[in-house]
Amino acid sequence: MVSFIFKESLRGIRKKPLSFLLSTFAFGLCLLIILIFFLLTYNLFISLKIAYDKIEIYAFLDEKTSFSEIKDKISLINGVEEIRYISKDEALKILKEELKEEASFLENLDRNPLPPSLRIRISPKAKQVDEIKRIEDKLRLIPGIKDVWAGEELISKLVKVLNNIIYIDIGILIVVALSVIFIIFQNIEQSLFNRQREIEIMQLVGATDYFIKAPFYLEGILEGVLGGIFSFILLFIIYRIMSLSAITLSFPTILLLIFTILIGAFLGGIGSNLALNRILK
Amino acid sequence: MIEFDNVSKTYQNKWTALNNVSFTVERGEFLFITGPTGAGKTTILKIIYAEELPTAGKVIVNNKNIATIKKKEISLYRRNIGIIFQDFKLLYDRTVYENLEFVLKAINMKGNEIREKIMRILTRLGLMHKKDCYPYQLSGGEQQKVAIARALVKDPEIILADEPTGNIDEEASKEIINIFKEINLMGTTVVMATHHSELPQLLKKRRLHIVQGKIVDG
Repeated sequence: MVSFIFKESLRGIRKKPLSFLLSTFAFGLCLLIILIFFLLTYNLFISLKIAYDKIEIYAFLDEKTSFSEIKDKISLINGVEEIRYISKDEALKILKEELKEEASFLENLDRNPLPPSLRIRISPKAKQVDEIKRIEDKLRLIPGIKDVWAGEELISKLVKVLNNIIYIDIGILIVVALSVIFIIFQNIEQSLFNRQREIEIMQLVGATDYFIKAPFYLEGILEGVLGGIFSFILLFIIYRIMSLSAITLSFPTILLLIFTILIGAFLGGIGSNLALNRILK
Repeated sequence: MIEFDNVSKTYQNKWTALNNVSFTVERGEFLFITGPTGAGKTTILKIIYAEELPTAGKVIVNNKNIATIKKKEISLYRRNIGIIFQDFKLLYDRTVYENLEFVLKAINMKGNEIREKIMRILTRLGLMHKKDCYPYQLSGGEQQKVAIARALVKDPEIILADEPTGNIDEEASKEIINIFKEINLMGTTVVMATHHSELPQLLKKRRLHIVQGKIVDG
């Protein structure tokens, strides 16, 4: 049964090889747009995750307050993972390192203006705007802490950026998916017209709907998978060319290949289904 | 086996193809449906193989009411009916063997059984030496024999033939008609639509003569 369906499907493709190849090519190119966005989003996610992991709360202390005095109080706050003390001298050193050549003006200062501070690492669970705000408020209540910079604005911006990227991706996915479904739809529609006699005979001799439709589903899925592999190869070539020009992107080969094949098969199946439902009522 | 009870068929509420047609066909009978072109012969056959539904009246085939057969049951229902057309409806990119194989595979028959059945029917119809030929390499009569083989290969209880000699010469027509006689002698019910009104008399078989959708004789 499976071999019959497979052979019938290949027979259908052999009847119009050029059309099959061209629509597979067009399908692959459309899918490439999805893949490029997927790859860029994936890399952006990685970069954002690194930035997200580095988020810390800065608490600036009174010069008279000693670290040991308040350390225990801070440790009791839920969500606090690690506390690091930065002395006045250390803060100045860090600033100099960050400013590099422009740090020369710091030489003329008669005293170090930077306060001692704490860098508080919070647990991943607490890295939400509300949670950070809660920790910030509790820190502000502790005597000896002059000011707190929690960066929840930065986090909320990051979340917004991530959400927007996801929306853009979904938008592109829908537009491109509709285009590729249309490509498959047209190809299967043509196959159905080319093989009207086979279909008619199958219907007359008592072949089930499943038997009649299966080769066309397979053709659409095959086109989707081949188009997917083609787009994956193109993406890989683009990635290699970009690597040569020193743009380093993370390329999750297996994940991308599986994603491409699955999405190709899925969209191919939908295109076939639409054509079959329209023609074979 | 086949029962038409006051059957009418109107297309798009305008054209009446059948008008209160009633008749029965017994198991193992050979019935001719004669009449001029457009009389409604093909519509009767189409209703029997559930391609069309009657607008009014009742059609019972093998104890099944055609109107109550669900769409997904039609395939199973048709496996018991062999249909032969004037234009053969063969697949021209497949050999004689492949044309028959296609049918049996399409109804999900297994490999060994397929080969056995095809060989048997090709021998019976004298087509063994043509099994690797493509339809375009065959004469009209031979093509119709392939179409008959295709209808018979699944051992149907009913054979429906729509003008089976319409596209072939006189000599081949005689051979084709003889094949139908033989099929009928083996116990298969045959319903043949033809505009050759002399055929029933020649074969001494019952006929229904239809004119403008009405039975006028039979």
